[in-house]
Amino acid sequence: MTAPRLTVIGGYLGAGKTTLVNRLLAGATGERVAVIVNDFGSINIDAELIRSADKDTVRLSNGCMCCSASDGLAAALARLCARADEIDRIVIETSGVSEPGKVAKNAHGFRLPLDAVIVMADAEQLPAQASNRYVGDVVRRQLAQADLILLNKIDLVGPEALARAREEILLNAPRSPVAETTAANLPLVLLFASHGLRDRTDGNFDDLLAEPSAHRHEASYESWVVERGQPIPRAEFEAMANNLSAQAIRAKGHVQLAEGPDVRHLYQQVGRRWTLSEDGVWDVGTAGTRLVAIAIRDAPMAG
Amino acid sequence: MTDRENGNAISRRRVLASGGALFAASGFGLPRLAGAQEGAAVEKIFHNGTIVTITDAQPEVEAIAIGGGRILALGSEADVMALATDATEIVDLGGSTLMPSFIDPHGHFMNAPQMVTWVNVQGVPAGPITSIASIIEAITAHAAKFTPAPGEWIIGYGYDPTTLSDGRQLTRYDLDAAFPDNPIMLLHVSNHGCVLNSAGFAYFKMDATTETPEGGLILRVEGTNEPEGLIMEQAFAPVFAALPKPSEEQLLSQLDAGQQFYASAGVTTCQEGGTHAADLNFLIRAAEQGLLYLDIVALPFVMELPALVAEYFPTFVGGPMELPDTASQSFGTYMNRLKLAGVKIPLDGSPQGKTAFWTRPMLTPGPAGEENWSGIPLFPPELVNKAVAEFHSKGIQVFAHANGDASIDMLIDAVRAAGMTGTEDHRTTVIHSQFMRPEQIAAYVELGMSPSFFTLHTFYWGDVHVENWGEEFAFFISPMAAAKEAGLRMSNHTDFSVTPMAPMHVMHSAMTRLSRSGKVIGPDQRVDAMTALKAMTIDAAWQIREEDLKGTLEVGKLADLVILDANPLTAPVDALQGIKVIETFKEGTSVYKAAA
Repeated sequence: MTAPRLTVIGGYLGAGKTTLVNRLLAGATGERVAVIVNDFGSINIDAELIRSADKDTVRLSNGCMCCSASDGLAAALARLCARADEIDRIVIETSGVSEPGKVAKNAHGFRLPLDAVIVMADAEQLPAQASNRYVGDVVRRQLAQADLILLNKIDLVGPEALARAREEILLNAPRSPVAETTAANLPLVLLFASHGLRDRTDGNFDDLLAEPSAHRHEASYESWVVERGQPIPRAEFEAMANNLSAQAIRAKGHVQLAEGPDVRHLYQQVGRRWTLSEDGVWDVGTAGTRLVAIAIRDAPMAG
Repeated sequence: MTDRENGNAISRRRVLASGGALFAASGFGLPRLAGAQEGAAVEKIFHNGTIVTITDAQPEVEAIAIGGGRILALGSEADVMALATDATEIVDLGGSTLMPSFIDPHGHFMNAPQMVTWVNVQGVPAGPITSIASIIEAITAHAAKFTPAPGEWIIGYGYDPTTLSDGRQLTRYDLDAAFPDNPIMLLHVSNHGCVLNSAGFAYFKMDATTETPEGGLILRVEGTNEPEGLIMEQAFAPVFAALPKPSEEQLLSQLDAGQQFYASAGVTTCQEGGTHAADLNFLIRAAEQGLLYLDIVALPFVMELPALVAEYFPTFVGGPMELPDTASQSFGTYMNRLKLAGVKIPLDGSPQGKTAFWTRPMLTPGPAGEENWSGIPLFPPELVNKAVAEFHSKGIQVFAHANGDASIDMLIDAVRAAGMTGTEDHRTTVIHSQFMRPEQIAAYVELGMSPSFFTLHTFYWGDVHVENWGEEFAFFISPMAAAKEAGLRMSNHTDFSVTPMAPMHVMHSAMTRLSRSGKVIGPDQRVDAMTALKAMTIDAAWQIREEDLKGTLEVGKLADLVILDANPLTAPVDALQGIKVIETFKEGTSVYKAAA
């Protein structure tokens, strides 16, 4: 049994966390997602989807569930870990003034592999929030702790305001890739589904990226394939990964290391967080490095 | 209209509760003798001791008569004795001191029934511990009393290696020798870790192969990978979350012993000062079964309101922070000794845990080693403003937890934005109100806010606060003298079970502000004995709107009384902590009597 993967979603009040969570619960990724939410009341679940509900858990017919953290995150995680075989992914939606990096760290004791800390920001409000006397510090910390930033609500701002929001992000999170969105509308399968890229080694994501978007500011996606026929020394691969993770919001694939070319390694990356883990041996004739990466075109990036 | 539609179950039960009608208080300066309580028989007269009223008009009287749960008369021996009938019991105080019993201005009652079956392994003076041997002794005595079956957990609280004379940590092996068959968990004084014995490690399947999670600590036996005993932070959190919880039946059966934590300390009004929905339902059940003999003041957590509204106001439709117009009917009245006094809004964490929220950075690193750490708030100001305004408009009192000056600022802003003023009787209470700036006291006066201080911090953490903040800021924590000077009413609490339920310790700390190392944490902020006592009696009663019923000895008030073996108003300050409770009365009924 593999442990559910963990994603932490942070960001200040109004950034769009709940919108994203509601889409995850509606089954946008095909995974069985268990979301731990701070505010049970804000979750908007189609009544027809609800299979059962008690005071701290709502279970849906699509395999997803939503859990309250009212008795503490550790208690909610303990409840979910007890039914880990029913869950592909645990998503923690943090409160607006939490530090999501710390929340991820706090969850570490439960030995859930962390995919990413995703921080959402409100393009209109971010500059004011980041300089607010009470919450400026935590808003800036949130950005700094992000593996990936979703700069949301860009349809509500003009070019100058958007530039100010981008600047704020660059200042606090110079190494984190940024996806600019409207109504948190990006293909979630890219960010969440652990198997989403498995069979996509041809680099064709047109169907996944073709989620309808009527918004003129909607970011456009760019995908590419990284291929190497020769085994790569680990140090060289790490440099490559650090470079890739500052650009691509998501990447995945197999890697052949020079230090152990018979072992197949799996590369997983969401935002700037990447992992390389052993993944069995190569099928005949498949040895070699092949990664697919997806980036947001025109997003501000690290130099 | 059915009851269900009519509103909530609490208000419905309120109507059924006996003796719930508010009792009109007798005015100050009115004759206190016969006739004030027409109809009630004089059941007891106390005399021949020191009777301290905690009133300025008549600080001491010679005798007091009670009946029907109330104070019927007080005054000179001759006047009160004249009221005696054949049925009156005359109680000879024998020189001891009788005064109003104490009010717990802020603490966590629901910890009490749970802790009844836990062993106190706190260091002296909060507990009996001085060494590893004394820990083993304490657990042995506890096990002899509770006789846990093999495999049953033994839980202790307050483990603090700095209080041990052995110069080392307690290990699993120290515990194994005496307790091979019961898993043991001794909670660290920070509540962020514990020591386990071998049966405890086996229960959680932790051994040499267990990796230390990031942000966690598992002490290992030197030279091996075997866990030694202490685990902290991220290694501890999952373990504690998976610990078997006591059933509601078990907790109900421990409610009597839980109330004795208070009654034995002379306290008859307890606070459940941060009530989760499940705990409120438990307390309602306890009240319905008549298991409460002390008054319990509950403050539901703001985060729990959506669940409570959904349960008790099933037809109400509104946003997450909105309440039905009739919600205030659920507050302010006891039903079978349980009362909701207001809503608890936590704004930050604790200063010793470095999780409070300040306007300036600490001199030492943050809880995770952060530089320039000044903490973060628990809620965004937008939500705090909205919540305070909503509760105020619905007539519900706000009790906000704020330790650092930035979260105090947030509350001041919210109160001002809600249009509340000092001329209005809203009694918004700031729980802890510790790291204040002097101008915030002026804002409290202007806006009608009232602090519930925690001067025991000067003893337990005063030295740490000076290290973290420097003397200027640390010396002004829980500034009782400045608050008094400004004319504020205030209370002073234990935050039980953060510190033990010990009113004389509270009083001592308010008067001396002595730290563990013997330093005076803010000499200017020490107060006199009467001010210290009022903060645990009449002014604490005022904060929960019970000043007409409790907190002083006056005709018509409840006969909530404590008999002490010395008078805290005149005892040498060094002797305060040695003052013993002889007997405690709740509305005239003895609820605790010390063994002779």
